[in-house]
Amino acid sequence: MSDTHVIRTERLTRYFGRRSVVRELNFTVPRGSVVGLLGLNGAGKTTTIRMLMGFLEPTRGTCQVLGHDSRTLSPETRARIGHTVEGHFLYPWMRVRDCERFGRETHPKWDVTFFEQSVRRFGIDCEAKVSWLSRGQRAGVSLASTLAGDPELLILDDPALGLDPVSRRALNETIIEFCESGERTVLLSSHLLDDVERVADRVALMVDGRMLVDSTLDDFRSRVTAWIVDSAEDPTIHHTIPGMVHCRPIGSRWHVTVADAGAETETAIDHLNAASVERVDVTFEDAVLAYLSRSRVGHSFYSGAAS
Amino acid sequence: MQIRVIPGSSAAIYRQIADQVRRAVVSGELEIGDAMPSVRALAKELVVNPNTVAKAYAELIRDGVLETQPGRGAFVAKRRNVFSKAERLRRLDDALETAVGAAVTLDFTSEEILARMRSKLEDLM
Amino acid sequence: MKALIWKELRENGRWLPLGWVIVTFACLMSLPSRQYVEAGLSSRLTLGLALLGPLMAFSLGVLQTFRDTQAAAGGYLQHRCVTEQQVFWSKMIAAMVVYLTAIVLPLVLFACWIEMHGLEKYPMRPIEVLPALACSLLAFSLYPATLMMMTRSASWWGTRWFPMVFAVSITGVFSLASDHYAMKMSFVVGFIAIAVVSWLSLTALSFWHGHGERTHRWLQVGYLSVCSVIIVTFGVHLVWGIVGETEPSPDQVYNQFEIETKTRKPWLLMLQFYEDEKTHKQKRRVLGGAPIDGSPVIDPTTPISGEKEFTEYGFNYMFTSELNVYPNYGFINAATEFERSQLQYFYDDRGYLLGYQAKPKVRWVQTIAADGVYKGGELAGKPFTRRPIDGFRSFREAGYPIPLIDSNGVYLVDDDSGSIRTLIEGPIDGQIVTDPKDGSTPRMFILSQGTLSEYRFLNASGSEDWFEAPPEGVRFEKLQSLAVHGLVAEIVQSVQVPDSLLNRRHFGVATTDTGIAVLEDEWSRRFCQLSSDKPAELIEFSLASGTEIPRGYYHFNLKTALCGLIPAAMLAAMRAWNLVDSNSGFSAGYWLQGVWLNDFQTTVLFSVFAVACLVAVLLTLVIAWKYELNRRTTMGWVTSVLALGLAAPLAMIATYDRPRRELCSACSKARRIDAATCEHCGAEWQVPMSEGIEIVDRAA
Repeated sequence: MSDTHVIRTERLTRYFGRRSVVRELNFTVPRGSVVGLLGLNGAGKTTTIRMLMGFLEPTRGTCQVLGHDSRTLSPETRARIGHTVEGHFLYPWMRVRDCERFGRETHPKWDVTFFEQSVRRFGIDCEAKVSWLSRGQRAGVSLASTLAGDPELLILDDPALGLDPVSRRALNETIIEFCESGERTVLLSSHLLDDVERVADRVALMVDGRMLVDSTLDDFRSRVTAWIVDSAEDPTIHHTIPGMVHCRPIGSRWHVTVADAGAETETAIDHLNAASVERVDVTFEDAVLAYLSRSRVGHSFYSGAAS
Repeated sequence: MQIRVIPGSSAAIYRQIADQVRRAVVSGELEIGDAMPSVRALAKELVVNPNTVAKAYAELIRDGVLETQPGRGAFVAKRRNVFSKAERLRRLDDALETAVGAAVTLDFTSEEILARMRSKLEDLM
Repeated sequence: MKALIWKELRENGRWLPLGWVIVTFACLMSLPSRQYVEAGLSSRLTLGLALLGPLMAFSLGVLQTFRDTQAAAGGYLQHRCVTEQQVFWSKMIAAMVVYLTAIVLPLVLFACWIEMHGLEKYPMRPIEVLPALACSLLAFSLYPATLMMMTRSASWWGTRWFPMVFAVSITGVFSLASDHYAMKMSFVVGFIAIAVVSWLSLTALSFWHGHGERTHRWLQVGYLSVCSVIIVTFGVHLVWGIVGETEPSPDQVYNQFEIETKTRKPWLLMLQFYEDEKTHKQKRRVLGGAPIDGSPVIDPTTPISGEKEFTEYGFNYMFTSELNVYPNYGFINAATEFERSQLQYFYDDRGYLLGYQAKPKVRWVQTIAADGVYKGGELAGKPFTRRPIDGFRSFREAGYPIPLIDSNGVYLVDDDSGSIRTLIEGPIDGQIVTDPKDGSTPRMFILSQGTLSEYRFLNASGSEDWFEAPPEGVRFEKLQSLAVHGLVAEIVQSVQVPDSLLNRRHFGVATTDTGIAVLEDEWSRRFCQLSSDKPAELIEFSLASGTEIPRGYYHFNLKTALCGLIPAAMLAAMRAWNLVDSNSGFSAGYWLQGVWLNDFQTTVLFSVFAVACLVAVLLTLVIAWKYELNRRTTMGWVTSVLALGLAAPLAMIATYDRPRRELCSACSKARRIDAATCEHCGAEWQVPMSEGIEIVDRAA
């Protein structure tokens, strides 16, 4: 089992105070996949990652990484996991050379040449202090020191946050190269849907501590459909549409996104009191946004009065 | 041949790759027997997940556009009909429908459209 | 591990200069002034560091944990192939290195500076930095305590700060007493520091990221219990202080042994002490009394017929061994009792009295040793075996310079000849100088190898009538010369003291008509008459019924009642402390000494104690129920009430997290959120309702 699934959580739940931040999560990551972990801020992505890494105790439920319980990961298991924290934290007082040394002495397998090449590729001076580096350069050092440890599983917490386009591209390329053998696995949380669409082959989508989507990217795309409904008022007020994810206004019309649309859905759409109903293509972004908007009003601040 | 991938479009990335390869084969940019880049190489080049490229290749092979030679990778295949007559007709209708629809909205007469179509066909065949 | 220590040293080493500045500041503040001579550098330095050392340890603890407990920095540190123990110990080692470097280096430099300038200019010695060093080591216990505080999840308004309590208390207690520390006590404090720091470090490790929670919970429970006991005791003391202000001191009645001045016979009197309404001075009134004349029953309430006068405090108490004589006075201390000419004297514990002149410049001009008076600037001659200033209070109060005394004899310094003369020779185990209220010349009792001798002091002309007592309430203004240049001490009588009395810590001595009377203590009903020519005579008697005055305080007193709230563990510790050192002890501890002597007070104490325990047991049960502790744990806590008293429920709240609950969807009762199944109905947690939009391909 642990061979095919590098991450497996079972009813994983975490409370902060009275509030459950992660709820009954059953989530698996097959070996060799690149999983994009999507969700709004506060949806529980970072909490989930911290539990996977063993930094945070689950309130109940279990999570296993590489076949070991996260709460008691041994240093040997940790050596097989590469992790970058949100914001690519590095000690600001260290020089890049110090980061390398710190990483080398805390990882059993460490590839010095890899680190130096990567850092050079980012155009970073080894003598530079971390506090002098730009965010993109810091991300470079952080990724280089994570990858130099030769992990088989990468868990990246929002690695693209605040990166410039060039650094983002470098990040994407790095991820693709990392997993090209098909034996290594990546779990990355991100807000950049285009990048996720490129590099990921699986999507895990969290809304309010629950995982609503855990599937391959293509499966997810093909199972979400959308209609444009021409109607004066919200068509879903008086009618329920089975599998409806979200309905949002576009001008005077309504964009209705549906998951797993079947015959029932079609019938329901047909019965709406609408001037016209038109089936439209769904982009990956549309589909994801429809899910994410469920927990928050997602329209422009100017049209706030509309709903 | 240059393949471009645009994330965020309504077509999935594997479909974008497959369509572009298909068009290149039809336009003659890729000739029969030309070697395709390996899945890994193309994935790296396009910065997309290798599984996505593999899926596009699989579809092209299923459709008979590409063929694999064990140990040597994928090549552009001889054109052969892997579809039934009815299927071919349906696909032709699909393609013409889009083109004709666009042409009509541009206010051309039937004769003008047919003439242009004929000259295009002569260019290709 | 090496890399981790390096990281911690780099991060915290930059505070070293600040530490040096702080410690140097403390050193400079402790320097004696140039205007007048004073000793006590050691205690000033220790007190300075007692404030700054804990502050430094605390700051280090906060600095080292604050960032690494944040999510990002914590993740960066912890995801590497290191165990949490390694992270903890590297912090600990680095903090120790930084802390000790910050303190030891300036102290050593300071000691060198003292060595260069010392003694000649001021009464100070390099070794005086030792107590400060020992106390600083103890103050480092705040570091692990801070780590505990930072890593605990309890609320700041709740019990989060609890771990600081013990570290702060023990550092405070030992630092405040530091003016008595010389070599021996410094090492004792050093060893205590090592033990305390080790214990707290292991406890802090068990708190570290809660990973010890599963393995070493008992360490946490133990430490939090100790802290709770201190908190409860401190709380009682606060109330105690307020109550103590308002509590009137009642008139006290005592039975006391005194000597009738005319016949020199021992009497047992009943005395009442009261406050004079006009002068607000303590006065005494004799209510009755009877002579101790061999009759088996004595009634001290018998009215006294005729005019009789008694020596006030007829019996003088002497320690029977040098070991009990003096508390430690530190390496060097002011000998203010020893006054002569213009010099100020200091006792150096290497055995010399050093005389300093204050004007025009502070300078060491004289050294007094046991065999002579020497020039200042060097420690010459035979050292005293102990601080030679002891007793002779009556001499001092009358303005006479006092003779010096150590275990080898009594000496008199002759200013004119600049020499020292031995008045009484021979090993001295115990001594006491009487303080006669009638103005006569004081006499001296000396215990030497089981022989008790009474001495009188004669002047050159062989007369004992040279002593001029000062009028009551008048302080002498200038030194009376010991007109008595040829003062000699002469044995009046010598007696053998039975072994049973020698084994006691101290006993009372008085001259009677037949020799010397020795008394075990005021509450003893045995009396030993010794004379040089007869064997020891033991007089045993009992008091007439109803005339025995209970010992200690015998009025109901709120203070005693409050003491009953103190946890038994702390009461036992106070009692043990009293037995070791009966003269010191903080307020309640001192009070309790009187309580143990009195049955009534003890009863009050134990009644309150029992009630407190009962309340504590109830609280313990309530908390155990609310916190859902299992039966065994609950019984453990209930038992612990015997030792912890009211601190037990406090420690429980500090130790456990209160389980949070949510309504069970199956049985609608509140269930624990951290259990997989409902404890009421056994139902598992309901999977959140499907919203019909989940897209899940079970890859498995």
